[in-house]
Amino acid sequence: MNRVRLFFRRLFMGSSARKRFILWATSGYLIFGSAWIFFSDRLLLAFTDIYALARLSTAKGIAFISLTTLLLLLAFCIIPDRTDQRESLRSAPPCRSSEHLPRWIAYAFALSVTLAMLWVRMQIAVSFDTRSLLILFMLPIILSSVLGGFGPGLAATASAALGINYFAIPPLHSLQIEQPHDLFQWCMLIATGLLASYLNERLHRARKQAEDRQAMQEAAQEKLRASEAKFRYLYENMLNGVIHARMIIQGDTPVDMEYISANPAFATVTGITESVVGRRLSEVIPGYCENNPESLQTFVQVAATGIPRRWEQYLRELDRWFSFSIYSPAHGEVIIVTENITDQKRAEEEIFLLNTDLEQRVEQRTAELTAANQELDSFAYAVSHDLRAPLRAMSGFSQALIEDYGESLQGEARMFLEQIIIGSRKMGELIEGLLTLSRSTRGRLHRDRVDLSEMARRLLAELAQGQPERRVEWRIEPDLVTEGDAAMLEVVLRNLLDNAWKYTARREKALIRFFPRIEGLQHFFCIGDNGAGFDATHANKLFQPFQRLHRQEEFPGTGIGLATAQRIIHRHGGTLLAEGQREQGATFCFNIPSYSAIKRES
Amino acid sequence: MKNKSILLVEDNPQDEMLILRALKKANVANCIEVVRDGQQAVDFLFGQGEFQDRANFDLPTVILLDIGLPRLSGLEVLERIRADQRTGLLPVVMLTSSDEERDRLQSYECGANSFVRKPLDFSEFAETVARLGLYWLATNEPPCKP
Repeated sequence: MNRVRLFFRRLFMGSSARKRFILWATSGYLIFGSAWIFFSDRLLLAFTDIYALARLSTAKGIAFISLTTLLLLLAFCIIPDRTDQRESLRSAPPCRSSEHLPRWIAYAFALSVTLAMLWVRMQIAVSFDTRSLLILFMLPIILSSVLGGFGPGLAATASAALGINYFAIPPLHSLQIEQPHDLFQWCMLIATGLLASYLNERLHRARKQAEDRQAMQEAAQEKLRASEAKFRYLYENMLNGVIHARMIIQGDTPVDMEYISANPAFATVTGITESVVGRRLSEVIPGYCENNPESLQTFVQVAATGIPRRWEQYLRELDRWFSFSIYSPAHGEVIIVTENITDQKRAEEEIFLLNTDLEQRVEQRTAELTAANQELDSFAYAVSHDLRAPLRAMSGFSQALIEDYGESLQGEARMFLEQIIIGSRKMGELIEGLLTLSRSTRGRLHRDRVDLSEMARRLLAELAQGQPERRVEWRIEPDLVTEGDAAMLEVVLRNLLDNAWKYTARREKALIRFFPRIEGLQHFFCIGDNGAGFDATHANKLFQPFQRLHRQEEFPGTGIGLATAQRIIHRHGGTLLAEGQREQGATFCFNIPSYSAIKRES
Repeated sequence: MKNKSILLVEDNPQDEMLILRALKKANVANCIEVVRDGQQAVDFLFGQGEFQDRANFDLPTVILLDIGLPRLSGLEVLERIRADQRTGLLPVVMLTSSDEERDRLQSYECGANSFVRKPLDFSEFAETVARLGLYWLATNEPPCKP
């Protein structure tokens, strides 16, 4: 029952123009048809001649048929086009049969309404005598086919034809038809019934397809609405300003543009709070068009080609920086998505200024440092050249005095001269050390492949040659190779090995080792000895120039060697570490990180 | 060693004395000329300025040239020596206190035949100078025999 109610609701409710037309047409037909039957049959009373009556009745029937045919033609015209139907069928949504009347109800309706009409016919038969009144049955046939299509229409036609033949067409209570005009009318009834059923079936199908199509359209519209809502939300709430505008061109030159729409963020982004829609760019931002002809040119290019563009621009008129992304939705129109990037630009500017300032300062400092280095250079040069000469004179003439007049020198005089020579030699060593130290911080670093193992072996051999009386065992791990300045690294190794050699002097079984050590990601090269070691509490003084942890009479030295070694390792980007305890030997380790890390220096 | 002589260009009188003493000990002292700055050295070699009267002179067999000199530096003197046809092949030994790589490289670039650092130690110094004198006067064959 629910489905029936639904069907009628769909049939009579709703407000589509199509439905309204159907209702008007059917009810109009009902009224017109009924009136026709009533008045035309009344007209027949005026004729007494039976043949004239028959002819009139035939003409009346033909007129009626013509009229209904005209109405049906009208109904055809509103059937949707066949190609549309196919398309709508192809993509039709799932079947909506639940809204259609069950078939048996349509058939039952057809039979009952026909029988009802037959009963009405029988009731009024008294006054109409033997006239068959076939026209009465068009109503049940049309109603049935309207309701259920061809099948119920056919059922109504068949039952009406049979019933009327049997009950209303003489001879009564027989299926025979005596009068030819009765047979003709009867046949016309069947033909009209079949035609009406067929047409209504077509109408049915068309309506169903139209419904499906409408449902699909509704679904598509719903989707479109959702999509529209989404984009509307985006448009209204996005942080970028969006303008839709039409370019105004005079001749070939873009002169202005007219705003079609703007989203709310446009006001925030530009600071233009009054409505811009319908106004022109030249009114909204006076002077823009005159000052930025190339921007207008770009706008018009995008509007012509449809190829989007983006750029950043400072608008003097608004004192703001903007980024513009230009798109063209239609020829001659642009959509401008804009963003206020003033803060970002100011920050960039500040960074740029800071960088420039920093660069200048770095240049200045570098110049100062270069000057200081050059000063140091000339100082070292002076030391090497000018300080040595008087020193050589002191020691030289003392020596010459001893050589030439040694025999005539008495006691202490000779000893004093020897002290002068020792002092001069000591000073000479200090000058040498200072020179090496200063040289280690100057000049270019060369990039050589250095076999430290081989270098250590050679240096120890030299030391052994210098003091053949010493018995020193050395263990050198082979193939310890690094990259660095060979001459400078030799100074490092020489200093460290000299120290190891010197501080193991009192050991009977002196041992000097050169070995690698890996700490984390760092590869260290280590020189270890079993010599006098050092007081670890003063280890921080080890690398300071002229600082010594041993007295001269214990172990002589200048206190410059380790400072020099450390400076060289630092220049290579590495570190020099010292480990040791008093009388327990010392180990010095250094690393040379990958050369690329310090390449900038040179 | 007649005809063979050494030109010593040395501005430091003490070094000069020590060098002369060492050469004397090596028995080569009788043929040493000494000038005390770069300009003098150039004048001496080319017979100009205060040495104009020595128009016909023998060129020294070897020049011992200091680098740090007043007026013209040792390197400038060396350049002039090499630039002149007469002295272009004359053996020049740089004898200097400097052991700067820069000086050494420049000296060889300018065409020095040898670069010797004055040792600080007196005996080493004396030995070096004596060996130098003997080598260049006795052992070495000069490019143009007198």
